[in-house]
Amino acid sequence: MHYSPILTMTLGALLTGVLAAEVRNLRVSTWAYLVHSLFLAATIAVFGSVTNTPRLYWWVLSTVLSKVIFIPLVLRWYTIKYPATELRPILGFRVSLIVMSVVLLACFKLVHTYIDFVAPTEAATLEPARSSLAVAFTVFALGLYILVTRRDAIKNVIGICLLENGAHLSLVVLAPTMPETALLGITSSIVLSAWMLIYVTGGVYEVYGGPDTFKLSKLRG
Amino acid sequence: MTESFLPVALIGVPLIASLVIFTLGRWSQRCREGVAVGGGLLTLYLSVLITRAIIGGGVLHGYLQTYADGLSALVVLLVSIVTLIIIGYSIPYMNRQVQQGKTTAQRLVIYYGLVMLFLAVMMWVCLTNNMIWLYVALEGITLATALLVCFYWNREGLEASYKYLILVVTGLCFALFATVLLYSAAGQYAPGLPALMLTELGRIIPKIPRSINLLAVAFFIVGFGTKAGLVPFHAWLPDSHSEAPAPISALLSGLVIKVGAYALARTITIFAPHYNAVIVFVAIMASASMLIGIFMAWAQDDLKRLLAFHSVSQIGYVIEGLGFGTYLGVYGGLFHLVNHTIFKSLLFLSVGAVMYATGGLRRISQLKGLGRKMPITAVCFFIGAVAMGGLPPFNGFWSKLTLFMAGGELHLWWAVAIGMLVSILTLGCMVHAGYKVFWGHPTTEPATNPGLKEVPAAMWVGMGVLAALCLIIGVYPQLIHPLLHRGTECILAVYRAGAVP
Repeated sequence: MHYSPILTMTLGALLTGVLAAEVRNLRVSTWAYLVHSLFLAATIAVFGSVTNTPRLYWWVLSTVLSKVIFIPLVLRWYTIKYPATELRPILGFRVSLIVMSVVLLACFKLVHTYIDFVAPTEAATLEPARSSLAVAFTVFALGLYILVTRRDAIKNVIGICLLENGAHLSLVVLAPTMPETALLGITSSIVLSAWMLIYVTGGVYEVYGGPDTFKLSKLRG
Repeated sequence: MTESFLPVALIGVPLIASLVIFTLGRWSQRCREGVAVGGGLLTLYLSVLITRAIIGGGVLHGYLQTYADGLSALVVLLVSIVTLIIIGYSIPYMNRQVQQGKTTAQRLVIYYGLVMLFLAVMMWVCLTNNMIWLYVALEGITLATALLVCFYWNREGLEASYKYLILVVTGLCFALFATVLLYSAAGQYAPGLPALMLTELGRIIPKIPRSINLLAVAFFIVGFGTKAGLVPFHAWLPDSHSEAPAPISALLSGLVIKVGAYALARTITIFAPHYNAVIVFVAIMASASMLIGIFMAWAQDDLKRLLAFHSVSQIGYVIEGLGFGTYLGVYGGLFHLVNHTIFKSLLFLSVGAVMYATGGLRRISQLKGLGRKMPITAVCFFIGAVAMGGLPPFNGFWSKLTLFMAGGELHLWWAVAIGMLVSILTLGCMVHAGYKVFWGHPTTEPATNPGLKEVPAAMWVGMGVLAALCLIIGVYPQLIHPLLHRGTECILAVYRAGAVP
């Protein structure tokens, strides 16, 4: 009964994640990230309902506060203060689309063929957990892909945020019974690291005159 | 197991000191320095109390799933001593930075506040028994130190800090994945066992499928290996260690990378005896770290960068020993962890002293013949250098010898050979650098500058203590044996709890 809503929302999270990664306008990218996080929160809420785990609603609350409100607000502050157009990435949209499609297919293949290798519980081998896990891995890979291919520092921050959201989704799928205190710790550390990165990125912009991470090469060797 | 307030107090004291500095530090220089020194002293006192309670075989636990065993006591004591020395050293060093216009007096509030916050989070890492809190505390250390790396807010510092944050935060995500995998698997295969407890890992691992365990090992190595600066996850280390203020470099190289090693000791060492492949894999990674670190170190002209690459190399010894999973291996790994903390802090503080005296020079090619005017710094540097090179009668000799014996016990002769080769190269590299900087007649600036003189006592006393420790532990290693033995036994006890008799 809940199979379809969960899959719809995880796929929504995936698509908005790709949008956040690929859109060149950083303000639109921030909005895409916000919607992506909303999908994530909604997925957790339905998981809570499906698995009858009320403590997941605390996860929903912390996700909304941290990822739907706080991080987009800080990103928005940055994109208002500094130019909102992303620097040209190493790989263009078409190549990214091909790479992401391959990653998505590989992740689905992984969880449908070698699920016993990556899923530690029997529940995770069943739908919709299995496909959600594939989406979680893809979002995580998307974050890594951004870190490798983007030269704009703020886009890299969005990459880190997506990477953490991938980890967060897998946490929900694999360990919905984790204590609330642990969740609180994880969420706070994620929020603080995103804030710290944006703060340092602001410094990079001020001192280097722009957010180009390719210019951060004074210390090589 | 005894319930005690000490573990929580040990986290709380530096945390309160940090808050006091952040709120009241701006009003008075004496206040922020006094609170930092007082907080450091009180933390050291509490560390000694914990060590005394544990050395006889006890284990303490308290609120917030805090837990102190032999390994915690060893690291907590080490962290307290080194941080106190660094705080004392920082007072004249950072005041000189203010005089030279590199920073402002107001920013020193942030400096001391973050150092105390760092101390609190370090204590939390060492005293938590919960895998999730371990991850959170490691993130906390990254965040506290990232701002210290870019303290001068210049190009190099910001570049280093940015790389540090991106790489370590990404790496730690893998450690979180590993924790989630184990927690999830434990729920199904080891019901009833507290899955997030580090001390229960030994009982949980044998019940979990091999594929999940190996995946978790791989993720732990990526996550904690990044924090430890292990090759190939080390890219952040040379930059951040070289660009931070000198006392912070000592903190980073002496302590921060050790928490990665500590986290690996709490996790990988428990897996290693179950899977021979893990031992060999860790030995390969550690050997690669040793070799790449030392080759890169030889190519450096910047003294701080040279020391940073030596950290990449030396952490390989620590991880290799911990990965062996045998008594001798873990003992040697912990012994080298302690020794490296002492001599690497000493070396960074010595380079900081050179920078203090010469107005910030740190390139080997710019320095010559400083030894005559800075004899204490020169002696301290050479003691650190030969200790790191593994020369008797200094401490590095014994820990390396123990590690070579541990490798021989497992018939990993290739790993022993690499370890010996790297040790010789390290000695050569460090003596060469020391010779260039301190030896010979002062014929050029800055050595000929009549104003050049030895650093103030507040700086060299701390260096002297560390140099003395290098010699004392080298001559009388039994001094530290009870703590190392207890630490090793604590790790192996966790493994044995789940081992098939």
